[in-house]
Amino acid sequence: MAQQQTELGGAKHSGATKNDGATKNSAERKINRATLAADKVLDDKVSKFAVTINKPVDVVFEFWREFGNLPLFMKDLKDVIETSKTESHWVVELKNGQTVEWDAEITSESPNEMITWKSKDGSEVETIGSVWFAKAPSNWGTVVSMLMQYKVPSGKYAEFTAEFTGEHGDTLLQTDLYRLKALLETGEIPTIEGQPSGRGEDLPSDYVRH
Amino acid sequence: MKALCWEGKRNVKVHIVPDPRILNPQDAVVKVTTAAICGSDLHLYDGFVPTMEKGDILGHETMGEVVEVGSAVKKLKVGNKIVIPFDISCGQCHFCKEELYSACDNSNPNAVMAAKMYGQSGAAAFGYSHMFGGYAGGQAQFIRVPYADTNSLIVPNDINDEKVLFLSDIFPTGYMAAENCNIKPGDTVAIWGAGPVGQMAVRSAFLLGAERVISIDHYDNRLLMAKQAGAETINYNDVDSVVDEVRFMTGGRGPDSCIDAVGMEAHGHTMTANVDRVKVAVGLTTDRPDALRQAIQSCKKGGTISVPGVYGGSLDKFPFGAAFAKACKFQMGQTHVQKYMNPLLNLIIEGQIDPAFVITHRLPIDEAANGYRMFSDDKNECIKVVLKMH
Repeated sequence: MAQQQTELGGAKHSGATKNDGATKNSAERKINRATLAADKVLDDKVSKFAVTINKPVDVVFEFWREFGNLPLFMKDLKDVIETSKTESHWVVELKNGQTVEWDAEITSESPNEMITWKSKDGSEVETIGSVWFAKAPSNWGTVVSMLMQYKVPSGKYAEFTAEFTGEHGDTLLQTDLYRLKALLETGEIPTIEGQPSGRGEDLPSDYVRH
Repeated sequence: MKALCWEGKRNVKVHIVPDPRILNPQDAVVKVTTAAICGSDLHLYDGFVPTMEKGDILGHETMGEVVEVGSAVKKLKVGNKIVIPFDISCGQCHFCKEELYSACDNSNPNAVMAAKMYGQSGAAAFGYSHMFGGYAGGQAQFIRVPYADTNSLIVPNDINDEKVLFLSDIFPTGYMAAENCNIKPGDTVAIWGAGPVGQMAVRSAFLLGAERVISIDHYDNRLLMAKQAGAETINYNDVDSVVDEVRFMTGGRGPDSCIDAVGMEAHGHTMTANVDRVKVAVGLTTDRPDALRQAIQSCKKGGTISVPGVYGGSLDKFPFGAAFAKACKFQMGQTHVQKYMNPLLNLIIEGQIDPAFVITHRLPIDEAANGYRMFSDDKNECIKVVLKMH
């Protein structure tokens, strides 16, 4: 475990990692560690967000580790197919219908603690992500801290860039984690899609507004 | 179905829209029998609440008969007569389990929007802007109720709608405001606003043991209604200073607790109230907190200021120094309606209170827009509007 974290965080952070072992479980500390890890790989801005989920750590970890579950709560993510124990194929479908795909590999993993992954060398869309799991204080459940970073070639993937990077990337990650929390805590994701309104597009076709 | 839709500032209309359907496994669909217009609907009507969209269905004081339940609904059955709380809560997150239902983590699909403004999102609400979830409201002939087992109170089939309808909002809201005052024998509670929530707070304060209640407003009929429950009243148009008057009436000590049942659209004729009106008109501020200012100025040292009135944004000229100097306590927030529905239903069944006293107007759904106009423009005559939906 210590070895994996050292690789992820880079040599200059290994000291901090060792010291953590003696302190109490601290989700915040892990976020910082993970931030440093992601910084090392790509230059672009890191999106990060954390939620506390009212379920035990192993339940949350196992749900997340089943990558096929990710499209259940990640907006725009259409499919994640696990091609081997550490490799997977990711398919994003954008609102304009365009699909963006890449292959990813797990770079380190520790059960009930963390998973990090990155796109395989040569992918058009470069991405690195990490997710950290820690028991929350008292009876709050599990802290899930996630970091995502994308590097996208300019031009071809304008829509993807707009949706997944910068401020929108932050919002997307926050949305996805709220959706994960709702799904695990309640078994469903809140929605208003498909409800009635007095807006033109929702009215029956034979309806004339008065 | 017919539904009352928000079309813009001071513009609501009844439209024919599609019926709601089950969208999630814990949903139910309810045939609405009776709904009411809430004072907080007037904040929407007046355009005070951001993230409204033309065509949104309003209404969060609603009851009716369950006509369909989703596959994961366990408690509710088709045919149950239910009252629906205004706040939508999942019943399964940390906050719901602590009975802080209005702080629910999961019900708001637009939680990111609310979190950007407030740091964290609270519960969604029916018919109360997209920042609070964008859920279609209950001033409609049918409503979809998410997490239906949590967001419903089953009431006896033979009980009159009007007796229990206000368990959806104003009765629990007035009650929680009074409960937050931690009333002790001999206490005096002053209540700003004698609208529907203020009326419920007056009666709740007495139910919880207050010796004196002082009701402050400027509409004679509303003050009369408070007086009928035993409150002393102040018409603020008849006095030079509400703060001085309240202090005089309480032996110079000030009330033990002060309730602001007005919220963000306070009227009044103080200098600060006039400045608020100008600032709101030109977009410099969002809320007009003059009732809250007076409540703070009036409260006794170490007393409680309880705020059921709705606020949206940042407040100007907030006398925090007075609150600090007097070591006052603040209690506030959207009502945890689900926590109060059952005990308050028992008070109604025992005959300790009949909340229907507050109703002054009964209208069919087709006249709902007229109901908004009356409630907004003739607050002396029109205290509470109830809509008959079928």
